[in-house]
Amino acid sequence: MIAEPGLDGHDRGAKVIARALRDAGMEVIYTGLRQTPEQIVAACASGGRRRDRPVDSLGRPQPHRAAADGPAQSQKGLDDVLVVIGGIIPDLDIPKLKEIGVKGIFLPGTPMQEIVDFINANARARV
Amino acid sequence: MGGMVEAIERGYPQQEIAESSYRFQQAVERKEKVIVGVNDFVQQDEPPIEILYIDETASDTQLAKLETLKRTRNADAVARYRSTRCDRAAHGTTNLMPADHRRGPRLRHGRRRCATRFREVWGEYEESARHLVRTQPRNTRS
Repeated sequence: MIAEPGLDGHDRGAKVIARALRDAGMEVIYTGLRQTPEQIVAACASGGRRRDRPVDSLGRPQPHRAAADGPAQSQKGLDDVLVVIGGIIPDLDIPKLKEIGVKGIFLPGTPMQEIVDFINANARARV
Repeated sequence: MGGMVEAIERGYPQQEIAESSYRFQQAVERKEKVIVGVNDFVQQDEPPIEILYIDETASDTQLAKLETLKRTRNADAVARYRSTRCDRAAHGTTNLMPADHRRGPRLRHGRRRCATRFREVWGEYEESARHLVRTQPRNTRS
């Protein structure tokens, strides 16, 4: 699942990643722009069931610091969700993000294949 | 296609933009396009950049100011404005800007004074996943 928190229109990266994951054979749910952390968690928790699809992993491009805390901390019953995040992320924030459970952090210039490989290696199938 | 409005509703420009950014990204990764500092001439051992962190109290202060404004302004006048001028604007065919941005010292409900009413009348734009790709999605799970 690809989600883009916040008020702005920085959806370009999110869409590129969505496309890359899809081309790598993954099923991708894109939540659309301007999501709150709560909405993202809710969409993830519902397993995209509204659209009859399971959610495999959650990516959050272009995070806002406050937005980044939300999903990882309130993942109730979502312990098996692999949270990855991408965009311009200050060095200082990286350890904090890892501490709250973000597994993959991808900075500008990351090849798309690296993200695909990371998800393939770390996401577990939900049965 | 029936003009720009129709095209946007069908997601045509959105798909073209998404398609173009994907191709751009692929070109960057193949180094057909060079972004100095990203995919070529990458600086090794870059010194850390000092970053300005805005304290959380900034948002608390701003929210408190907003609360005060909402508490002290003339709520009836705001509601009246929304149900008359904003409502007419939302249902009419005239320019929205005068109603939305008109300055009125007594009302003090900001520059987007009709935004709330507009959202009530029109709803909000929801992006559709079908705008992501030009072609039909591959069926990866059947």
